[in-house]
Amino acid sequence: MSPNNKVVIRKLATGVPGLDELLGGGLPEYSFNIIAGSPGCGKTTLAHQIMFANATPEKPALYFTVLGEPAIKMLRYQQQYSFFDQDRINSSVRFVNLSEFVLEKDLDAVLAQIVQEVEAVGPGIVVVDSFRSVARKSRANGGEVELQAFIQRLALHLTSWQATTFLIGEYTEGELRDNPVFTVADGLLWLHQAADRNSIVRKLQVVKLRGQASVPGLHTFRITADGVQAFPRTFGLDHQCSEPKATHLLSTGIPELDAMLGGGVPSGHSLLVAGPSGAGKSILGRQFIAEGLRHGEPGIVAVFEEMPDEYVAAARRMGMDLETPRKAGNLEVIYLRPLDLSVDETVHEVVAAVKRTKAKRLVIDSLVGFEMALAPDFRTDFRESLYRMISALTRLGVTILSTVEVEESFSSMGLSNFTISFLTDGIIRMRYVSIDGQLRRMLIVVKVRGGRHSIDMREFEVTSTGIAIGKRLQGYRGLTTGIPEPWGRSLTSIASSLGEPGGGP
Amino acid sequence: MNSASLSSQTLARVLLSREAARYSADAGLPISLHAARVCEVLRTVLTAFAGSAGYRALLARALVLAKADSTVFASVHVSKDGTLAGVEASVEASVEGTHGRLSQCGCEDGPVLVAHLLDLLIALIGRSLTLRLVSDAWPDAPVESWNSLIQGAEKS
Repeated sequence: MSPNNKVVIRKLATGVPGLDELLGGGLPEYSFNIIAGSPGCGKTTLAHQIMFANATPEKPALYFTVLGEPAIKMLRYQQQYSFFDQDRINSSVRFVNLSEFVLEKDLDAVLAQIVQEVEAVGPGIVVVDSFRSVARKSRANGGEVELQAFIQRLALHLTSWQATTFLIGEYTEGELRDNPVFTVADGLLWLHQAADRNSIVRKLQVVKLRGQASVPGLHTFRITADGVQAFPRTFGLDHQCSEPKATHLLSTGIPELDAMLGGGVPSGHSLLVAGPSGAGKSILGRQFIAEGLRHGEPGIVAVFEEMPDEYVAAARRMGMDLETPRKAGNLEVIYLRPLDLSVDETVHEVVAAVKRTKAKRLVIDSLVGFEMALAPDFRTDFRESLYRMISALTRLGVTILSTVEVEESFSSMGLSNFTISFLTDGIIRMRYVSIDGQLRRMLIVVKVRGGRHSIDMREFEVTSTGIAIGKRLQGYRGLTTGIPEPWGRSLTSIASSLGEPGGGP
Repeated sequence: MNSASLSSQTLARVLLSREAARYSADAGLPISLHAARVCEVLRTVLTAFAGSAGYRALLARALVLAKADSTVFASVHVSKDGTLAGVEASVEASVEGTHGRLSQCGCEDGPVLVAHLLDLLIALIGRSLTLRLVSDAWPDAPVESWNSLIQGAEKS
């Protein structure tokens, strides 16, 4: 048989942002699916969203309610979501209560009732909520085989009637094995919800999907007024062509720093600016984004520690006009500070903004704030998540400048607290140095991948217009410790000047 | 006294009149009979998705509220399947007098039960969805007509 003669399985759009990508393009038409998970994780909302996305007057959706959430309450709450279209109730979307049937009759009668409704309506979508109630009833009667036969006949009938079916059930992961429901199902969507300290983390997994390649693994999702939104770990960029890297150099807005970097920041690179609090990292970020805007390069700033208006106002005080490009849509300052963010969700926001503005530059200020904004569960995967995020964004051709606060030590010079320096293409390190009774600022270009860069340790100042880089700090040793001492000065003379024993006159 | 909302009272009156028109021979019979017929039509639509237990719970609550407002439904109760029982007793009790007759629909004791049932539905699932269900029960009138009827009642 030639490939052209194979059956083409149409994929239904779920109406759930991000979910079609997870499913490998959408839901296989006429498939028999389970939506499983613990109470309150969003199963009913997900089913409603899919139902409203696909139901039409010609191929309506039948929603069977069975001993779960009372239908009146379900309608009361579900209509709060934006996808819930009241005008389609009883035309495109029909609710049928099976509770009494399940309570009073056996599974054969329940099946007969479902079949009768399906044959009368000819639905495109069928939902049974909660199917667990049906299964419990069967088990209470000791009917494991009866249940399996029921599911098998139900699947057979609904598929024959060209309906895409969803059975909703509260299951635990331990119930996956030897469960006839999961054996018969073509698709199994598992919704997880876990409390981690004070945060709630929701994740979705396509455990099984016959006939097409879904994206494996756990993916974050959120429930908002618009319903469920999934955030695939692929960030929607699976089929996106990679932009070539380092085709040109981007100015930081500070000519001396550009020179230190070997001419500027290579396009598509990720640059890390590490330094202690107050060193000037955020100012460098503002100058980088402002310089891009001056050259007609749209930009995104993701801030975690200050509000967008404050960020723009601080730039204005230094003579940088970010307000005009912001109003013109060339700059977006995104504030991300809810405490249960996932990296995937954040990246989806940033990727969406990049696509909206066609941004060429991105400033993340700062990675420490970013980590703090994440739910504790996601912080454990922060490094891995950063890797995926940076890869995804640089593939879009965006040049990233991230700031990271480093806890200053006056004995060594760390690059960041996340051991993420290997993820970045370039590193600039700022630090305080104690010289001649002053706490001065010093800047070093530690790394520029694939390029030559200055190895000078340059003093810099934060002026009213931004960072001003001075001369190379010469005549000192131990600059990287932050407590340098002049070359040629002997230990004896130092001790002497301090009046310590052992010191000569 | 009718403590139901004015808009639900208006809608209930129209529904009762519609049912009375369908059974014109019974026009002189008490309101409780016509109210029972309206409730029966609503029962068919509501039971389909809320189940008979769901509908029964709503009607029982509406009946309690109606009894507090009016004596018309004193002998009426909700049976297990969600139908109204005791309506016959109400009919017999009012054969001699005019109290509670449909001709008095404009009085405070008018369609109190149906109005309370509609109020409950509106409180739980919203006006839009309630009117859609009413429209499904009486499909000859589009939902827009019910909506404008209610809006007119609210303006007055």
